[in-house]
Amino acid sequence: MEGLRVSDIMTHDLTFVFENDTVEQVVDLLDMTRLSGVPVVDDELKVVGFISEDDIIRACLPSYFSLLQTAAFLPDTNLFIANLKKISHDPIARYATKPVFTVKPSDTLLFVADMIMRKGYKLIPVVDDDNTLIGIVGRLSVLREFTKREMAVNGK
Amino acid sequence: MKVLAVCLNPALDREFVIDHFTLNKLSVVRNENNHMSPGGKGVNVAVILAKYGISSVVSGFVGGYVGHMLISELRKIGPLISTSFVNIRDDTRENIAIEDTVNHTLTEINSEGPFINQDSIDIFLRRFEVLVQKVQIVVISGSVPKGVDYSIYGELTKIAKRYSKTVFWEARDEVINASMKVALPDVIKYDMRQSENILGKSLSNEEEYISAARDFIKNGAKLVILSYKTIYNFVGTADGVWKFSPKVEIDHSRLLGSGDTFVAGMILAQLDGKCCLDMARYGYAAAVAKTAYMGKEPPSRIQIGEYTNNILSERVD
Repeated sequence: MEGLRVSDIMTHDLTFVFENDTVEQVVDLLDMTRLSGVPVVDDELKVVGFISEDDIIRACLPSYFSLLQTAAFLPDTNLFIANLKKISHDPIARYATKPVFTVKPSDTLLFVADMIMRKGYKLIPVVDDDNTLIGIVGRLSVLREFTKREMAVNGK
Repeated sequence: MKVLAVCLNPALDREFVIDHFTLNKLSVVRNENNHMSPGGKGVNVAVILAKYGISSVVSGFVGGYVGHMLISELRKIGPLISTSFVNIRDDTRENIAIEDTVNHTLTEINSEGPFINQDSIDIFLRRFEVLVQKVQIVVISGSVPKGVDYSIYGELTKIAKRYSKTVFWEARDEVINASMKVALPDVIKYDMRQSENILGKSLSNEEEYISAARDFIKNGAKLVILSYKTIYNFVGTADGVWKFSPKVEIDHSRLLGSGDTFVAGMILAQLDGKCCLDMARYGYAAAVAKTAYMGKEPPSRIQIGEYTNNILSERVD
């Protein structure tokens, strides 16, 4: 298990958005690709951020929402939709996670699994030594690989 | 990534072998007689290059469930192929072929393909400019989907040339004709499967082909390849025009995929440092070697090397 690297399970997919792409375009992209998030890159394909469904949802909620235990206390449930419409033409850079956590193909799977557990990442951009995007690694790929290995250990 | 393979209109190819195929009757197809593979000329070139250990990124437009299936099949090829498609709402086209090996019939059902709107074209052009900087060679090959202007090959080449990349085209006459007005690639290979027109004119004899090859070079192309009577090629370079012929008998039923192998062979030669005529010779040898057997697998580099002795290139101008 320790020998397993990101390169063994990464998806060589270069789906990305630019910082000035709009929220609406990103929501559209996530819908069409069924991805939960995408890397944000600059004009040299260097990863400068990451935008996820969670980031967009958070951007539509009032700033005090994180202090509340439940959405039942929101003054108006239509507020979320109104806010989403309001930000739909904003550049995504405003809501992307920066700096972004990335991994290299040579990083171990155990390291990735550890970060998924600790930080709750769903998708992590994979970059080369120049921070250029070369793929993604998703938590499902990690789970699938671990399940496979576990079965082999148990001789099933 | 060494190569950016542009396939604007990729397809999911589905092949069913159904002996005694009959209309108005249910046919149950065994799993081994039901094959699914990623298709479209640019995709095919990337798949062939991966077999030779060359990495590429494939770009174009994909959409819907068929688009997801196409990408999923492409990923099965292995880590040498990266994907960077622009997603659209319309479905990617699907080409269904039903082969009856008893009655020797082939029934084909091809979907029309998606419509690409201007927003998606703009997104693609911007992504292309980012991706092109990361590769050595750009190959643009195959049909142009609805909504996209035929001059798109020229627009992409203009961008690629800003970064001094080597550009290969394989396309039909209407695409080459419109795109040449915008920018010229290093290599033009005509896709003449559906028409023998070159620059809007129907050519019939060898003299006309030689003259057309000469005109392309005069207009600035470094290498032009015009397929003639399916198995021959007229090849134009700055030094002259050559006619390529096979020294071996060609089985026409094995020609499928040889055009893409030709392009992949030329890219291999270019990466090996070969130029112009030698590059075309290597590509032609690869294409002829591909016709020596059935199946989709490209010939090995050893086979291509052997087949360089099985082709004839004679100077005709």
